[in-house]
Amino acid sequence: MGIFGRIVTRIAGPAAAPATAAEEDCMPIDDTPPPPPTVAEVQALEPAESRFHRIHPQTMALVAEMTSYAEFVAIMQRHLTNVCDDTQSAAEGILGQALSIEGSISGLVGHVDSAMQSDEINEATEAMRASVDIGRAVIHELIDQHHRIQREVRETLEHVRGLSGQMTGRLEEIERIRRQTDLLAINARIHIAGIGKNTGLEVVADEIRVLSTQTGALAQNLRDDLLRMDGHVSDELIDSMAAQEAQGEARGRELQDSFEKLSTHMAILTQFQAALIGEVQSRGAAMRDPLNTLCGSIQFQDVARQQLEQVGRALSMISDHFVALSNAIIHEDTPPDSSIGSCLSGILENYVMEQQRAAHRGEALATAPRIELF
Amino acid sequence: MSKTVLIVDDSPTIVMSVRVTLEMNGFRVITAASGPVALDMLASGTNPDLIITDINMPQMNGMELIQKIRALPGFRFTPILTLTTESDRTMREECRRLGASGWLVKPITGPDLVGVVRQVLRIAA
Repeated sequence: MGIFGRIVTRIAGPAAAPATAAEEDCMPIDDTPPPPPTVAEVQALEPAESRFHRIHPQTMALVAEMTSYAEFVAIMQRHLTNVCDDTQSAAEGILGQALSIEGSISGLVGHVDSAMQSDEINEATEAMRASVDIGRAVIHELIDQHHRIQREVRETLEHVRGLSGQMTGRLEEIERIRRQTDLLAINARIHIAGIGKNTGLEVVADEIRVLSTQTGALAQNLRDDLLRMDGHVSDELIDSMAAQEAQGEARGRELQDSFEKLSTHMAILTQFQAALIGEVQSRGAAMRDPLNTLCGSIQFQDVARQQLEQVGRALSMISDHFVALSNAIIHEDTPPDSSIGSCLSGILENYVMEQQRAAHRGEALATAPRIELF
Repeated sequence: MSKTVLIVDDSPTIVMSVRVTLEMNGFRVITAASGPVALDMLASGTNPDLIITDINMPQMNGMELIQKIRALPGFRFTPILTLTTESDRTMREECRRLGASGWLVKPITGPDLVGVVRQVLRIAA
């Protein structure tokens, strides 16, 4: 019940039981009184011959002022309640957001951590690394094999060319023998002509001539074959082989370089992966510190709420004092035995914060330890 | 296994602030909005590793709560920290006499709170 409600109750009916000290302590600051009546309404309640007409008009004006103070207190308490409610709502909202941010950060860190270190990623990385190693080894082997084959082919071709030269020498030998055989056949004919026919030597001479002719034809065939073979095993062919060998070697080197780069890039990726995990974890931890601080800082709302509640109680105390004074004037009640000064002392005793006590006394804030373990 | 902290405070802001701070740092948190509710929880088998209580609360103040907790079987040595705006030295000494383990003044920063809780629970940072 508000202050003016109490005045009206005293005027219009039996007195209400006063609030106990415990009730006052627990009284929420939004315990707003009903709207106070105006002075005219107060006067309208009075019978024409009541004692109110004996009270000095200036005293009645003072009672009206005190009534206005009760209304002022009620309005202020509603404002304080609004401030407390709004700041509490805002604080809860901020904490909710902080919790949400922390949840997102933790989720992100956990996701990156688990994704980067998952069995699938590790297995895939290992498989790629193994494939690169195998590919590099195969490339080395292929290049060596290519070199070996090219070298063998070139050596074989050069050997064939050497054999061809040797066979040309042999053909000249055969040709020389053929010419000697021809001479032998001619000499045989001459000798037969000297000793006369039918000696049987004509047959021998003819056979020698046939052998010579056949040897010549054979030598010619061999020469033709050698020429064709030399035509195939030409310098151009050998040069072309050498060029292909150089080209193959260059391609092999390029392939080898690609595998080396792939291997290097994989190592970089692995390092990047580790650095990324470290960075995400580090930034996640760094984000927690300001969130921790924020969560602590938001407690100012509760501190402010308690201060406002005590301001509200102080206002009520003064308002109650005015009620007692008003009742003393209107109803000739015993005036309150306390003064405004004693009210202020009571308010000072009820403070729970050094900050409030210092503000009340107009002193500098004393620094007491904020954390003390027993 | 994470340590469990019971927070007893009638202020939703403080409860939420302390809960968020401790949960972000790996603690399990349970809450009670008043002394009687906290006592019911403890009597019905809740066994926190640490209790953090306000002093100025309706129904039952923090000092009475500490006294009643210490009288419960199994809670003689459970650490109890007060987290309060109260700065009266007499009250602080009374809390120490009743068995509180420490006195924290609001507002307390998150890192400070976590540091004290770890210190009381003997947890390495």
